[in-house]
Amino acid sequence: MKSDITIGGYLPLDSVLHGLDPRTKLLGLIAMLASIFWSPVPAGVLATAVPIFILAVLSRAGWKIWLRSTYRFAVMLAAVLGLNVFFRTQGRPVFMGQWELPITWEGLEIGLIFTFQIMQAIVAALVLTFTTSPTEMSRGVELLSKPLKRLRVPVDDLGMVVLLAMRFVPLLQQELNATIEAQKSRGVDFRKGRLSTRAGNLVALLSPALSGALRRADLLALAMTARGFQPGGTRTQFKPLKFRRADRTAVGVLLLFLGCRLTLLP
Amino acid sequence: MIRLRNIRFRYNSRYVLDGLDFSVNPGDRVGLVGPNGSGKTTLCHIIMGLLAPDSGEVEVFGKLRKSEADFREIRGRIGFLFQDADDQLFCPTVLEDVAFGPLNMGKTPEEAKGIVHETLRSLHLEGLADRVTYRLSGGEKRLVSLATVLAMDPEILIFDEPTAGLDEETTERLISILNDSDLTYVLISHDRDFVSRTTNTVYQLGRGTMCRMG
Ligand SMILES: Nc1ncnc2c1ncn2[C@@H]1O[C@H](COP(=O)(O)OP(=O)(O)OP(=O)(O)O)[C@@H](O)[C@H]1O
Ligand SMILES: [Mg+2]
Repeated sequence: MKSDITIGGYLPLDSVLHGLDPRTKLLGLIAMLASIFWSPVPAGVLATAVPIFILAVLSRAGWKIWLRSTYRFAVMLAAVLGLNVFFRTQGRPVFMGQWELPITWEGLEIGLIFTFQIMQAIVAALVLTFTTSPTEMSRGVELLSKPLKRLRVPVDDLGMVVLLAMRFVPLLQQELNATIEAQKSRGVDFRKGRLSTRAGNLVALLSPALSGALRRADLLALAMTARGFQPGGTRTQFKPLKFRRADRTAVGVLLLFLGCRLTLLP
Repeated sequence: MIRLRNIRFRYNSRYVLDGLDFSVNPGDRVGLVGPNGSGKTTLCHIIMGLLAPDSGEVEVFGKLRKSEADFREIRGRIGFLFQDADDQLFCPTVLEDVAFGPLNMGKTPEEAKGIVHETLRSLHLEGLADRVTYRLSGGEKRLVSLATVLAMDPEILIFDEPTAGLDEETTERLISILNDSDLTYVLISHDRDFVSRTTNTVYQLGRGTMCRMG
């Protein structure tokens, strides 16, 4: 099955979150991430889960898309949980009947909390990319990074970089798909064979896909140049960004939440 | 408008272009044919200043062009259609992609939007403005690429295989668009019929040089 949603792809829907200024959403994501990872205590992690869940619902992506896009991270989350649980040996061991399992209650708790934190971070980031078009995102990054310019960080084209990076996700997927098809048709099976064979197949897969992507990057630079783009040059913008009432409300809610989170829970 | 003199160019050690002369005058409709790998695309990139020749002169719009600044000046005036439409389109939506050139040329958003809609309309693509570019079909991508180029209101067009992947109807539409325009253009194509119906001079590229075919 070829998926039609790319990881973190923009969903052109109509929701409160879609209507917000990208700067509000970018700052909101940073604030949410900070409060998610503030302290690994169960109460704190549960406290951030509520607003994150509400945001996921507000994005109006629908549970199907949420299920499909979070499913992609299942392996990673399982690995995080496994590593935390099995490699933490201090603490009270867990008994099942009279069997002593090779895990501890402390490991289990820390592992679960950490996994839950990462899951929330992923959902928060997806909310941003689902509801913000690449163009808005690049504009937001560009404007937010402006103060850095005073510190002589070259941020002129940061927005364009973000735009192109987002454009490269589908491109890379395309390139990878094409290579997989090409190699399958030559009889390579990525699921069979010894581990070493499979690793070899994977390398054989990555190098053409990567060189394909690099070639495209080269041509992309040409295409932009051919249409009069100059790094650091001035470009007129399509839609100037504006803070609206919804943005002020959102910032207010966010600050209120952050205040409560930081004062009520250590 | 374009005059190339004694151009030599190589990628590694082998010369792809070797002592090539080529010129285009105002009003010319030039066809450029030649086998795969004969250097047609390379030649276009040299004209656009995207590649620099090892030796020889590139003269465009009556001035020798050497530095990047020289070429920057001509890029808004030459419309270049890439061989692979996927390389041409890089903005999230069709609207933004077609507006990219005009915005770089300093047009206001309103002007740019007007240009975009006008261009899309002339190509019968009105419905595509808000579509996501990388999900268009191959033929649609080609037409949108054409729109991105035409939106810059160029004085001369260079098309690298514009008919590849187009169905007959769309090819016919392209032919009538070209024949109705009074633009100067250079067409690269493997489609003899297309070339003979849209151009009045045909050059053949081979062994690094150019010869006129009629
Ligand atoms: N970036 C590159 N690096 C090395 N060699 C290249 C590169 N690009 C093209 N070549 C080689 O230069 C030669 C001319 O390529 P070019 O793309 O100009 O041919 P073409 O006439 O446009 O062919 P086609 O009809 O297939 O489009 C080919 O032999 C090609 O392999
Ligand atoms: Mg070519």
